[in-house]
Amino acid sequence: MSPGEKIRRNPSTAFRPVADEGGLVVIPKRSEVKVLNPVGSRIYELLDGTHSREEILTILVDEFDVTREAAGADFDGFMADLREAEMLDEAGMNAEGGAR
Amino acid sequence: MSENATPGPNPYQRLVNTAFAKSLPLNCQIELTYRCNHLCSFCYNSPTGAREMSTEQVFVALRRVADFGVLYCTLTGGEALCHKDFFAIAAEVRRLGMALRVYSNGYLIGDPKVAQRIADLDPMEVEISIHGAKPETHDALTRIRGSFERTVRAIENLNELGVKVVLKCPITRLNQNELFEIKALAKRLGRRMIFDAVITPKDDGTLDPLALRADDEFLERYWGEWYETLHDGLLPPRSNHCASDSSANCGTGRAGFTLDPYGNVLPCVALRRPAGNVLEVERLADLWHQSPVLNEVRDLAVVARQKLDQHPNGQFFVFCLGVAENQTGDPLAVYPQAEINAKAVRRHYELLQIGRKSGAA
Repeated sequence: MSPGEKIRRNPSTAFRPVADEGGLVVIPKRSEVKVLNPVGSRIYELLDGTHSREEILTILVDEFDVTREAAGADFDGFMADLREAEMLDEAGMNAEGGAR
Repeated sequence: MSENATPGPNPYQRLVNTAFAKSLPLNCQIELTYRCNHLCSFCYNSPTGAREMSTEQVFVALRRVADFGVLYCTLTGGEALCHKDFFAIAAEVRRLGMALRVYSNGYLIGDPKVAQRIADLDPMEVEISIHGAKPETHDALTRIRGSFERTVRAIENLNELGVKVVLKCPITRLNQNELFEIKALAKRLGRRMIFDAVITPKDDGTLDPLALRADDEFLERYWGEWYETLHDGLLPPRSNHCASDSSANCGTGRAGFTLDPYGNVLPCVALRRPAGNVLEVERLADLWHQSPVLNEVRDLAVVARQKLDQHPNGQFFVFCLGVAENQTGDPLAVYPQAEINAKAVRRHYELLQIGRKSGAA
């Protein structure tokens, strides 16, 4: 992932934040529902194809009580989890436009 | 940040409970059309003759449902696949970021090309109704010759394409004696089977479907003795599946809502009190939070729970306000099937306790 690369969640997943308590992601191909905590949910929401890693980190530091270094480490680990679960749009990276 | 490995209470249930407590609907069931290619005599649909939403209007409705934040969108009917633009509508559900569930009788999916188009939609689940273990029974209930073969072929087609299929069987007087054979058929097809013992009046209050209701003696044995075997060891439910906590009887007007083919917003599929029309509001959220109908229904679900708590078998009820209202005119009246159900389930749990105590001794 290059520094300015815009990241997009897999558009075949269905996502809904639930109040401020987290979010639910349905992965139809796997017949799975993933549960995200509030930070994970916010990140997944931001993976709309219009934000880069650095832009998301700026938002996280602003919205949560976390340093940029800690946020970066957590973010990278989370991206690895999402990639493994096929929750990222690998083909669509840097594609024009966002996803809902 | 994924909570799958978090110890403690089920994190999924925790979020569902939060949504329930805040009346944030995660589910929407859309009855696309009342048209159907079956003639089931126990069907509860009651078309009024009004004009159904056009495809363009359905698209508007879907946009409003998605903007409201619904996660699970179920397309049903009638027979949803009888809508001329079913596939365009289902694709729009997915494009808008919602998980798609389809309720179908399977008849049209018996065609491999149709099954492929369903698979291409990437649905979360397809629920198919099966009414018997053999053509004579199934076809007698659907009143369409050859429907059994088509439905079984549909399940096989979807299986081959890796689509998750769940089988449902409304229990009637005609199939009540072959439930174990139906279960065996589901096992052969490699699919989960859900039996539904509640046959309801038609939505307009006509009681005709009740003539096909399984008999009371059977229902007592079903709930009390057979439920576990028929549901892979699951104990019979002691509350509605859509009730997330003990404060309300069910999720009507809270966990989800239903749109009928005319665009009316209903608190759920069973309690059919129109709260407004999806085409007449800019934001569903406004209707959802301000509708006197929905607020009354939410209160009724709480009162129903409190009332059941006073009943000797109150902790064993699967009670539906919609069935109560349709059958008796009073959404809080305990109707006979619920009484039988609760009594038999209580007996089942009491016998389980006796069994456990005997085992421990």
